[in-house]
Amino acid sequence: MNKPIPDDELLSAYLDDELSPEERARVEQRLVTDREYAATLDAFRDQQQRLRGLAGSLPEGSIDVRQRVMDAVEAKSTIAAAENRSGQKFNLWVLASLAALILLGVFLFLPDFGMEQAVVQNDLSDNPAVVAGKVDETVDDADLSEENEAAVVSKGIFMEAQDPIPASRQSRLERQMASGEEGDEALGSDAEPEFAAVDAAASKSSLAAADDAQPAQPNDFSMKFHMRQNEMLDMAALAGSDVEAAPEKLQQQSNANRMTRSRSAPSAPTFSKPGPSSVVQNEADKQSLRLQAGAAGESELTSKRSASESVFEEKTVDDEVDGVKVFKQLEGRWARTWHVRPAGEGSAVALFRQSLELAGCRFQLVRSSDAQSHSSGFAAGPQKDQLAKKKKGQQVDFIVTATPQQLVNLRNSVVFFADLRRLDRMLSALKADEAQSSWDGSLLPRVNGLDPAGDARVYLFNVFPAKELPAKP
Amino acid sequence: MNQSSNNQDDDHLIRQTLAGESSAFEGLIEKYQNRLYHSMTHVLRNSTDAEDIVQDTFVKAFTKLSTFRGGSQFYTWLYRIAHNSAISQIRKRKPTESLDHDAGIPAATLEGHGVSPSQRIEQQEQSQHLNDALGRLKEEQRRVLVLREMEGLDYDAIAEILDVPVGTVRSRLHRARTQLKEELERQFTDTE
Repeated sequence: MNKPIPDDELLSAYLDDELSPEERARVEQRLVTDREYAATLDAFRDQQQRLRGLAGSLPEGSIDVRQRVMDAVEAKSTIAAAENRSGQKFNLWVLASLAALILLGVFLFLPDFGMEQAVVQNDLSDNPAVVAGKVDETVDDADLSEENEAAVVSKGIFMEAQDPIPASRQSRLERQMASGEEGDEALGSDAEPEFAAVDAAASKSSLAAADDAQPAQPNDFSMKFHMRQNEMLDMAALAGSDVEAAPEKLQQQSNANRMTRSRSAPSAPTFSKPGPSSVVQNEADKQSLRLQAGAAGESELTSKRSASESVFEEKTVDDEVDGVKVFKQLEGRWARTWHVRPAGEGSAVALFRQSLELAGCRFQLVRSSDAQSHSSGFAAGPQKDQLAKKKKGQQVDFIVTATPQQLVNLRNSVVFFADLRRLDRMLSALKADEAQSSWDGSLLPRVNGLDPAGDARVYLFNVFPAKELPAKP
Repeated sequence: MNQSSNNQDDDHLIRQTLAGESSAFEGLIEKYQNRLYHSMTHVLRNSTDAEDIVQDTFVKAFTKLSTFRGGSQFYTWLYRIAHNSAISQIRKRKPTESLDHDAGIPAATLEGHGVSPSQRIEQQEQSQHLNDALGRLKEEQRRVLVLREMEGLDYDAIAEILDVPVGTVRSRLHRARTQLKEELERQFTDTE
């Protein structure tokens, strides 16, 4: 049975004509006898009229969000396409890794099985009855022919911890493995540096760890693989911060380096996150990775870390920042893409410029109308062409050299500008349940993770004004 | 335009959007953006935030349009998205922001046909008082009042948007009205 509605509540519902005939009659009956009750109804009625009047009066300035919504929807579909692509890449990479592990397992266990047979055979060799007919299946220690080499290497790895094989009996590959010289080829050091945005905080600790690096265990494939990933990320960060390096020299060295590494290898996964620390194997590797990360002009690589606007992007920029030659390609920094509606006299470009000035950052504004928009790099197929056509000429890049402290300053100055703040929220809306704005949610924690007194690095910020690019610098 | 043809228009635009005609969605935006904006302005007490919410709402609505079953009016569905976004927005606000939370509300402009300048000023003052009183209500009370008095929604629609029983809408509305009445009386006493 329904609980009877209190008379007070009935009054409110009476006003809204939401009562049954019986309830209505009950209210009307009381209104006749209870003056205070009637006065309350009058007050509610007056209030209702005033509120409706308030709703009917137009606040100054209507809004028109059509263009912004459609832009955001387009950006979202672009991001979704990129996610799909990256997801596919990631899946492929997982599959490839699994396949490699299975192969490794095959190499490890099959020869060991044979070896165990040999050991058993040797143990039992004193018993002629057991040995009969089995001698041909044992592995002869002296037989280190090429076709058995792989199996012997695997056996060496397996045995190493307990019973190292004497150097005199090791094959060439065994000796390399034991001395930690393998890896470059096996681990795919020629992988393209197509990795996600660098977590600079992690990179920094990784770089510190690299100074007193210890050689990795040669038989730990997984560990070395991750180590190599981290090295590449570290090197990208290094290259990104080393703005004074001569790009031409790096290019030459990189090309020479690539020629010596002809063996193809799997690409680094698009989604990657540096571990808490990494170990750089040796200075030569460090240098070669630096060169690879700094390789310029060969391809425009664009990848992303998440559905947010943290974007890793390599873009050819032939320019200088305050007289300092900038890499032809910028790596290891966070790029941020802003789609902004024109905001009267304060365009997005102008606002961001002011923010940079307030924050004390050095920056160079680069009109990238001649370059293909990075957005088109995310899309695939017809969408890519469509986006490229649409976005071409609308993007402005800010190459920013900033210390962590300046980045925090930048963040603090940006929030004063309503349009950029609105933009943050718009972007966060793209991530369905993101509680934080994208700036606070993705960039700021990383900034906070940096040493405020840390070195300046180069960052790339993209701005997409809806109209009116500033004059070309 | 009656409710039925209004719904038919919306259905048509929705079908077109789902068929890949994104320009049809612009029609929906054009139709509802200002209504939603005004409502959100009163709920959030900040026009900039309201505009953000409206924009976010349409983006979300576009991406989730295929989930709209037509069981309710499109605007009710839209408003529910906006409502949820607004709640998130309010929760994200820092406590200090509440001190000036009315700052972003645009002054109402009363089209003064036959209204003298002094009368207009008086009306604007009254609107401001009402706005202030509204701003002092609890969030849930303000929301239900806005939905009922400004959006003109019935109890069922309000219950759907707020995801509460109709009985809760009724009691909440009554408390909101009572509270607003007290706030207005207090304001009147203060200015005397």
